[in-house]
Amino acid sequence: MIRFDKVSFSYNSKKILDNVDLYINNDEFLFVVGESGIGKTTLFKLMYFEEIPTSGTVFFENFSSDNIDVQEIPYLRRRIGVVFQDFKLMQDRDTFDNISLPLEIIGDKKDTIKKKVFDAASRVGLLDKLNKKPFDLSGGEQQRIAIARAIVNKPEVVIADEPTGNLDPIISMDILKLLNEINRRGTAVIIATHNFELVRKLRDKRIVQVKDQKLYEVKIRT
Amino acid sequence: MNFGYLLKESYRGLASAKLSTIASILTISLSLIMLAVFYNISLNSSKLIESIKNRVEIEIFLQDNFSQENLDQLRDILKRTGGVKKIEYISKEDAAKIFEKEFGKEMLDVFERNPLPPSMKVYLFDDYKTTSRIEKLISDVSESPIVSDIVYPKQNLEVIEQNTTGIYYLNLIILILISIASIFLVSNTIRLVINSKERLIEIYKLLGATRNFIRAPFIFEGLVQGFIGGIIAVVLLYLFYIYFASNYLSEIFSLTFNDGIFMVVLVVIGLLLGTIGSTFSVRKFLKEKISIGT
Repeated sequence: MIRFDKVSFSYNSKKILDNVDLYINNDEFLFVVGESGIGKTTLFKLMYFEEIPTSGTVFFENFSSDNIDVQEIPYLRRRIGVVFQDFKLMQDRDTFDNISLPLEIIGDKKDTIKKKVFDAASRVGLLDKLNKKPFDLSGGEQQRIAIARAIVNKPEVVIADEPTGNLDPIISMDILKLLNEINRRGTAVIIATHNFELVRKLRDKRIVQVKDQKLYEVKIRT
Repeated sequence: MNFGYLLKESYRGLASAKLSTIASILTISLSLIMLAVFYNISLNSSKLIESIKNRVEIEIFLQDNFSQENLDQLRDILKRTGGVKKIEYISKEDAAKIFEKEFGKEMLDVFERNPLPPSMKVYLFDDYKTTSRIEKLISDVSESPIVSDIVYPKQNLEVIEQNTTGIYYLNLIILILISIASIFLVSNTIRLVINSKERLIEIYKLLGATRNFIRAPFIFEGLVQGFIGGIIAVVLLYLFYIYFASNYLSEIFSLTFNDGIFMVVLVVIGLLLGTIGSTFSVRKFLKEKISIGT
């Protein structure tokens, strides 16, 4: 589904990724690990075409970074649910309106939107918080809004950038279980994290490490 | 996009930046008032020129003795020259009557006999009221032996001719300048509102919103601001007309501030200003920010 073909990316002459290959399957659960600032977010931005490689090609299904038209990018992004590191929630609107945003964008009908938002909210356990605004909610709850917004439109892949970054271990585990559940229902999930402890808890998953501008497949020793 | 969502988003946009919204509405009102005032100045200057031109007539004074044949010949010459709307013959007797009416009988009593010559008043179509055409007419008419003198307001006509084009272009340039300044002012004020929503636009883009989806609420907001700005301008100009202009100015100037069509046009221009202003302002944020690796 997602393929990196000899991708290099430099920013302001600083090389971040150097000639990397990566293939992600439709139903995959993938951890991208690495220290902070090593290039995990860049890897994600390349996936939803916020960045275009310096050389090499990124493919998402039929889209290719070599020849994508700017006008097509919105349609690619609708097929990817992104949970941003800083959540990127709209502070002036409530949980319902935040979750419904991707559906408003594709022009779903009011009734459909209601149904899908209730469904997504129930999956992340936010049904009783639908009329609360983000600043009235805890960090974990805000993260859940971001996840619900990412899955509400049934994307083919959910990308979560440090989804447990600022959360305590118990809530982090809850979020991880939630993403695992999403994956079990058939959506590919890619999680970037610098927290190796977390990765160890779901030890059967595929892990890719970003290190020295390269990607390495990692196996956890049992 | 659902229309309900568009309304909701636009309302949210207007309500979340109240001060900037009020500022852009007032900017639109001010621009419209400037346009309206200038339009009226321009209209009145054209009317003034028109009224001077309307008064242009040629008086051909004739010898005392002539035959009907001579008179018909003169009429033929005038008709051949073209541009003649109406010819009015004033006999010696008619001239005396007109003189009496204007200056009193006593003045004429001084003379033993009527000293006033017969004459012809020639009215021209507007297009023919130019010095070159009138001079041509004069040279044609001079051929007639019964013509003694020809008079027309040459100086007035020359002043108009020299300045009409200048006034027209001056009006046009000022109108264009005011329009550009208005669009610039309005789009800058609206930009203040949109600037505060840069983050929001960024989120929309990352979630897969198309340009039209992002643009629509801002343009609708511009439309609403333009409408309110237009209504305010119309009301202020109307109040000015009712309480001030109709009492003090109406005899010199004719103003259009109470004219229904003028009001509608002004509101429509307000709508356009708001829409164009917001289209310009949001354009900057719509460009896809893709960093291409260096």
